[in-house]
Amino acid sequence: MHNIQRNLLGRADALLLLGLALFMASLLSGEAYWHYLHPRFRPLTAATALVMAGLGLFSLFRPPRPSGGRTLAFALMLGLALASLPATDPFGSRGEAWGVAEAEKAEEVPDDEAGYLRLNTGELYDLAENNELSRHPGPGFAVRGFVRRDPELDKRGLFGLYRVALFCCFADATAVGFVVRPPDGTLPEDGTWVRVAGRLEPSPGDAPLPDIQVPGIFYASTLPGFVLAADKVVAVSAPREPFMFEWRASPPYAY
Amino acid sequence: MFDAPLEGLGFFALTATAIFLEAAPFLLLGSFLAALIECFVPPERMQRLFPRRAVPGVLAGLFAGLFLPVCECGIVPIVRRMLTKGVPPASAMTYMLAAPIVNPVVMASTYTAFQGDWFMVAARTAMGAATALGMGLALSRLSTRDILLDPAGHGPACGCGHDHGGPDVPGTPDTATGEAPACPPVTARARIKAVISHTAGEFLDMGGMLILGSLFAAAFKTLTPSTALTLFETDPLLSIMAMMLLAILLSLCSEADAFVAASFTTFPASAKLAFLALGPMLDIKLAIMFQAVFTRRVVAALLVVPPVMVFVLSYALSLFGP
Repeated sequence: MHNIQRNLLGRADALLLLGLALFMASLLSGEAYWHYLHPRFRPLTAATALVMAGLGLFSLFRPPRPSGGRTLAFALMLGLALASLPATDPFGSRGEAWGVAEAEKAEEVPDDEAGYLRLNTGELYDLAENNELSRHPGPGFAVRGFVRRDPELDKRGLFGLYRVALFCCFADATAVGFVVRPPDGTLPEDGTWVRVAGRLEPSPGDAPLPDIQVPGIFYASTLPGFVLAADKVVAVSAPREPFMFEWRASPPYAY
Repeated sequence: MFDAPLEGLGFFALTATAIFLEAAPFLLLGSFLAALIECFVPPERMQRLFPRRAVPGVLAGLFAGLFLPVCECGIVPIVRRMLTKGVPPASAMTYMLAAPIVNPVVMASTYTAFQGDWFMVAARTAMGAATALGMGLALSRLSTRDILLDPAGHGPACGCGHDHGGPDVPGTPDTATGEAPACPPVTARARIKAVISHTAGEFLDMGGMLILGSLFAAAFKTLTPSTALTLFETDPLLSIMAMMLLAILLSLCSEADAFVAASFTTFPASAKLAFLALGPMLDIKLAIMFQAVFTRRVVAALLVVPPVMVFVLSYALSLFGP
């Protein structure tokens, strides 16, 4: 390979490193970060962006051995990273579409949930799995999440309620939730966010639950053997961070 | 919110970017450690740390994994540099497979994900250790030349342009200038430059492989419905095979994979353990890195032996375990 070509490819690698470092820095400065990674990694990403920028600058003046395939891979990565911005908002709210223009602020504790144990779907899932539901007397549990409709569930007057747990990055995210029986039989629209207050009851009959898919998420865990019998289902806005980053084993729960 | 026509492409871009962002810090750390080894640790010192005999050698590799934990994203460049510095293959290869599993961080995350289930922690660690020891012993008769594609250590990863000389080719002249090797350099300033140069070269080289792996994993995750997997959940044999395949294709970090495994509540423990034991030793991004660094014979062994051992151990567990 001609020397000029070698230098050009090496410098292209350097510029791509700088570009990726800038991309990381832009994520850190906005709110899109948690679409990609758990917020606890912010310092690590900041350090990585800094070091990558340093390596990129160094490589501009001292280009590394060239490799066309490698340059192409990094260019593709930077292109995909930019294409993913603005980050896909896979679990954002569409509360208005369910006729709730005045969608409630999900962060506020509503009066009609007084007495209910507020927790997130992952925490409630664990309570049920560990047979600890009886540890919490009272009218029941209050959870929030997005709605998944399924023809099989529709026939039974049920819908799926999920939150997405993100442990490290979006690639390892899984959805955790329940099937819900609304009090008046009205099923909310697919994809809307709702808060639900009710009790977990053994599901009637032996009919297995259908495999409910959540787009973008490889696996959705639906609590088997139980139905969340709702006393109320209320449309809300999506929380600022729709993912479950915290998952507590005892009160106060993360909600 | 789930009906945008380009949503699939958006999820693909998001997933591939997320995998890269998650792995990049660890690959950078691995590249930096490899550069430090290259520029500051003379081969004699490195060789003194690891016994040359097979059994003590693999045990040393295992203990190195315990005390020098590195996740799988950063392990390959370190092991390549260890091998070029004369660390016996038995130790280096055992370390490569064991370090992402047999380390305190991964044990803690497994313990947390499985809500204090010590059996899962112990079984995962034991399966990982047994497989790493088996591979280390199997490769112990090979020389560095038989293992590395580029035993002299001046592959595309090296950014400094010098021929560093490997354990079998000490002090060969610089390929570019014909002069004596200047790495490790003599002055502190030159050494720092060499470390930066090596780190950049190693990160770019392995980063390219990481990106390819991220693209494959993201494509699989975006295109495959989970129902394809749940078809196998009731049969012990099929569930183990399905979860092993999933571990390879998803390419998750070993510090997070336990949480994903725990969410497969309908799968038997043996299948979850197969997922947990195999993923840190073999996944798409690792397979791509392996073929860039190791000879075809070793790559073939790395692609076959760990899955077979994990499968046998998991199936035995499903027959005799709790």
